[in-house]
Amino acid sequence: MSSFIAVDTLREDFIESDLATLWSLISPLYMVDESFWLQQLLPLATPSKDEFNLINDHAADLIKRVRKDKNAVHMIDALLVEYSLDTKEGILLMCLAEALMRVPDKETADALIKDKLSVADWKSHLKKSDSVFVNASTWGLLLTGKIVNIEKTTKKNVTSVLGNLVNKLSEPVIRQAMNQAMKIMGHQFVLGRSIEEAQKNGQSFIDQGSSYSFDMLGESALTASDAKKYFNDYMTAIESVGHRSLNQADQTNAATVSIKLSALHPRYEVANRERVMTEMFDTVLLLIEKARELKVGLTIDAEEADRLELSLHLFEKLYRHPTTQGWGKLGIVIQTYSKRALPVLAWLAALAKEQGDVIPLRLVKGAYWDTEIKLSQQNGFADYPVYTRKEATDVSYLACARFLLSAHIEGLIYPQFATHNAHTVAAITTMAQHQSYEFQRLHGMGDALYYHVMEMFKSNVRIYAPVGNHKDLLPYLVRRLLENGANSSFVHRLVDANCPIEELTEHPVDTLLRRPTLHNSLIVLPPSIFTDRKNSRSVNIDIESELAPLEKEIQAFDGHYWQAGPIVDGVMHTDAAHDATLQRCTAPYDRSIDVGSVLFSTPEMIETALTSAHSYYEYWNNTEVDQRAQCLYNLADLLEENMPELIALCHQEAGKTIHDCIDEVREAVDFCRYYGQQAIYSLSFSEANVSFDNIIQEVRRKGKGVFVCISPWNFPLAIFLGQISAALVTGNTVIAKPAEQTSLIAARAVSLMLEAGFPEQAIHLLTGNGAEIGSALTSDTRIAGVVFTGSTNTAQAINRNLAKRDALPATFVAETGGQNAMIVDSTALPEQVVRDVVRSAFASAGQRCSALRVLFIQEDIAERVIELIKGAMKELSVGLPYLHSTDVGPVIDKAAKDKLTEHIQKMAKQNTLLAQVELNDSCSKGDFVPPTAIEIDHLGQLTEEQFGPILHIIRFKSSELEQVVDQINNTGFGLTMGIHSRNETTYTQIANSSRVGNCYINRDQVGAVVGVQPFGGQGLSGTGPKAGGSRYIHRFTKQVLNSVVMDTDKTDPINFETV
Amino acid sequence: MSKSIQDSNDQQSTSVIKKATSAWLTWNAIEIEQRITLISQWSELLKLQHSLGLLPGQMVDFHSLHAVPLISSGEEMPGPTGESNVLSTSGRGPFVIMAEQDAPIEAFIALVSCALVAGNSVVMAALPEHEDIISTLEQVCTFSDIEMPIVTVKDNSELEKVIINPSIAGVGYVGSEAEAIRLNRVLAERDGQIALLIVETDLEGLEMVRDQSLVLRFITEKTLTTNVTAVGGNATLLALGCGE
Repeated sequence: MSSFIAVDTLREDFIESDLATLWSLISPLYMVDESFWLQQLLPLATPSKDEFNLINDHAADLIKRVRKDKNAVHMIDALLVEYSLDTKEGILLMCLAEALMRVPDKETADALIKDKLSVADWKSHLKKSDSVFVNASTWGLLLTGKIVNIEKTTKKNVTSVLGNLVNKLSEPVIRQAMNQAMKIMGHQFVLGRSIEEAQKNGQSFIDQGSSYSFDMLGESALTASDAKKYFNDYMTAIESVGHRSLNQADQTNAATVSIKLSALHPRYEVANRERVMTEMFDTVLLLIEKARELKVGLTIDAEEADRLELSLHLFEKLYRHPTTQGWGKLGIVIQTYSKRALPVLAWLAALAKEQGDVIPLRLVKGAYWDTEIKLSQQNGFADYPVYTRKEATDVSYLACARFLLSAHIEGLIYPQFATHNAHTVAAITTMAQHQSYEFQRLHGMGDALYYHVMEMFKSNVRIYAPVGNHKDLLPYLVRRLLENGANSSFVHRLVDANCPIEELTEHPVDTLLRRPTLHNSLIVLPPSIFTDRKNSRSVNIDIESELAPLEKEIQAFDGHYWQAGPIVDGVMHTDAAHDATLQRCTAPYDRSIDVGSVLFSTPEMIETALTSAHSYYEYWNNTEVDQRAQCLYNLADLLEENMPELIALCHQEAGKTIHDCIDEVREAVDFCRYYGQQAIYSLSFSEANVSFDNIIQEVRRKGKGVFVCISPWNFPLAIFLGQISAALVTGNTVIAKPAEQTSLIAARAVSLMLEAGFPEQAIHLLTGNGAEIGSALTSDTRIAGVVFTGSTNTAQAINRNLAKRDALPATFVAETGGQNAMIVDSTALPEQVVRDVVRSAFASAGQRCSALRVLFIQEDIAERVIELIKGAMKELSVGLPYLHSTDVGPVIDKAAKDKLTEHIQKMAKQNTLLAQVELNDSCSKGDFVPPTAIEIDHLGQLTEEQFGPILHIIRFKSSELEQVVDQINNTGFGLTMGIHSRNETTYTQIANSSRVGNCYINRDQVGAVVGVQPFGGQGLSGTGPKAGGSRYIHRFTKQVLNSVVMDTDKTDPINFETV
Repeated sequence: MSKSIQDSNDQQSTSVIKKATSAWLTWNAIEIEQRITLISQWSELLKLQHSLGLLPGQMVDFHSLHAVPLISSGEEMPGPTGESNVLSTSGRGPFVIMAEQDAPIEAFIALVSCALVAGNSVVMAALPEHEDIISTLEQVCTFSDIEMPIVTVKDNSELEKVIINPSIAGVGYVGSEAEAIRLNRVLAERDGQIALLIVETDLEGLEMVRDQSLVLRFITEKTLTTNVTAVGGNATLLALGCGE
């Protein structure tokens, strides 16, 4: 917990501490306990009695004035009034608008219109109230400031809504309506399509005394050429603004330009800190140079929480540069939903004090709130970087404002309060101990409010105005309106005469204190998103305070030499005393690095393991399931405790990147907890039921015997332990055969299992040659079952070996390869597609069963998407896996490298090589394969799976969609499939007709999570059941009937054994 | 065997596979609840067949009843906000179901009904002892205007030719241990997908078909993951952010 006392920031000498000390206060608050920290902030936000009364009076006065203003409704939300977006029709049209504007081909556009408006689909939404409905209600929320709860609508209502819509609007009319809607929205929220037009349109507000900050609309840059384009846009904007007389004269209401860092560099992320601090630094400095020359202030926009610390480092470097020194117009944006906001402000103030140049600072509430929550939950972080209540963010806003408005901050930071809330305005004017500040509002929002604010308080007001094409508007709008969701709701209620003024003037401190808890218990913390088990723990390596301790612990294993070998009856054999082969292990990224050695199993060890596992089975099977599950829970905790060593091992033995290593450990932990919990749930109790022949039987499920678990090298810990935990917790004993390439990790895992309390006879590890050990084990009649993950061919060989035994068929669970496709139609958002394609195809060097191999892309958007893929691939960093900046590590060994290289060479001869990442010197000593994209004509050109970073791309016509799905089905494989489409009819049809185990819509197709996305394929891709699903452990059990049963037809008890 | 007879045999089994595959796709597309309704209508008709006795019908009911909580057309999985994860089950493809003549008919019908409830089509021999089974299901299908999910061949030796085709998803067998072992080897020799083999060799106690979760052997699972924030926002979460 932080030692920092929030209220101390109000002391004048607080910012006189040295910068490093103030900096050190920031990171630890990244995900500080919310209630604890709010207690700290509350004293800053709480008004004195006088303040309270004054704020109340001012706010009420403002509201009354706005309500009396005849122009208010028209001025404030023309869109809402003119377009009736609180109707379902309006929302539906907005959903359509999000995608329709960018669909190039008429067929797909028409299909999209039909999809959103057809009766049949409305019915399907009723059953599965997802996507469009959530989207629709999102839009409803965004655009009307309240949630339109469509889920509660009855079937009849929806049909009649639709009827209305269809009756009112035919297709051409809808297209017209769409254009109209876009025009209104454009007019409402975008000041102009070009910077020139924007400045012309903004003249009337300038005349009234407002000033402007211009923001050029656009997505984040994925490629260097997009970044260049955005740079040019910013440059043009600076030049255009700078040549106006307002700026030339250097007046106080001169216009400024806002820049988004993610638009200026394709890799604006902590992992690429070096590039950000050099390449991006140079780019921004050029903008600053020009801006200073032309007297145009620049403001750096805020983005996701992970980038906060990085953005501050960059800001400091820019601010201290001679080009900027003495200027005082380089600004920054700080989000108060962030728990770190206050110490960031203190640090910035100290920085300004040291250098003497004022820092303009826009204080906002924050635009990525729902994304932050989702990411934290997905990643299993301990807590959130943001507050979980709207009013907590409001309290933080006022606390930050109190600091910024203190007398001693004047001249250091020039605060720019972005708000559309009358109460916030009143609070700021009341709390202010100095007058060097301004308000900011969005173009198109709060017009009437600020008209009266200027009248009442003579405040400085700046309008934040987006500039750009309508096509680029929607992503921007979504973010802005999310950020201002609360404000737009305020805006809406502001003009609603039925809404009592007292409701609008309640102080956020009072609102927050009225709640049962300061944090929001409706939004559970990331570790608790599962009701039945703990989510696996993770570390956010983008945050200094999180990364530093982990890095140190991992580095402790630099140069470590691991020794491993068979573990039979709890004893690990590591020396080659008994004639066994001793294999040397080297790092896949540098074969000159010795990682350790592995001793191969001897035939005697195999026999001992079989005998021991077989004789111990009965005892283990009769052990209480709780006890077996407890061993798994212990193991999960041990895995988390030993995460640094396991990460080091995964780097060095398997060549995995940091993110992959963390995910690997997390998945193993999840498997342990999930199967443990599932076993307790389904094996603890017996159940009495009446069988088909009217016999009452007492049914229980128990283990089957000895299981052989044969695991692959690509998930050396997760799949290895997934198989074993399922087998053990259900009462079987296990002989594990790890992949030769990753035996060190396996041996470490088994050592931890023994430490966790698994009996030494229950789990044996046999390292060595797969074919030899595998066939020795699978031909033995003492084996009850085999779990295998690996190639389809090996699965068949194992199956044949098992069948050769003079025994009834063994249980065989096989998880094998795939030929995974992604289908993208022209309604998809290219930037989103490319991000997901690059991750799906190249993450983990393509060495995931789920990885994307074939991208099918509709020809109408193929050029643009392929250009983006090429550009994004150029930015990929291939190299040493332990470096944070590495995106793609090595492949597992030389054999894999040779096979993949041969395929690339063969394919490149006959087809178009679209892109290939160049390998640098750091790859020279390892087994690296450059990420490669090849365009091919048809799927038939691929005969087998290529298990590496190779992406094949096939174009298709929109009319051929059905054949594409057939082609994919006809490969016989069926593991994963990705679909990108905004057309729900299309993606549902593809999803239903594709015979795959895991289908992903509008996201990447890798990284299935245990218990959330049960994983496994169909046909050639596997036997099922799905790993990480509720039916998995069942396959390791058999039904056992208790010996005394009652025949309901007869009255005598009869005895019979079926076990 | 002469080449021409071999060819015509191949053609026959190819046409059976084709029919069975098409029957599977149609049958599998029917909602689970509806399939169970059809199967229970079938069991009512089976119980009226005096030649069969009551056990076959009761067997069908037993497995249909237990199938309801085990298989699903869509189970919402827990997980992070902003994403929908639905796990569903469906049939695996055409199953061959066969039995020795001395095998209890209720064991055979257990395998047939589990295969059908799960969403598979069934290929079986049109033996005299199966006549009532087939005709009763045909009545149900005709009445509901649904394609018959059972495809028949002449006898067990015909089935033997069918099972070596990799399109056959699995085989159910009731009979001797020795034959089960032999079938297993035949199936393992196949190329393509690994066939499931479900055998009942305990002709007295009927250990396997007494397992109330037998239907799970006949299914495959699918996970559908949808990013519901793709358009830009997460209304459900925003509502929570404003909640108590």
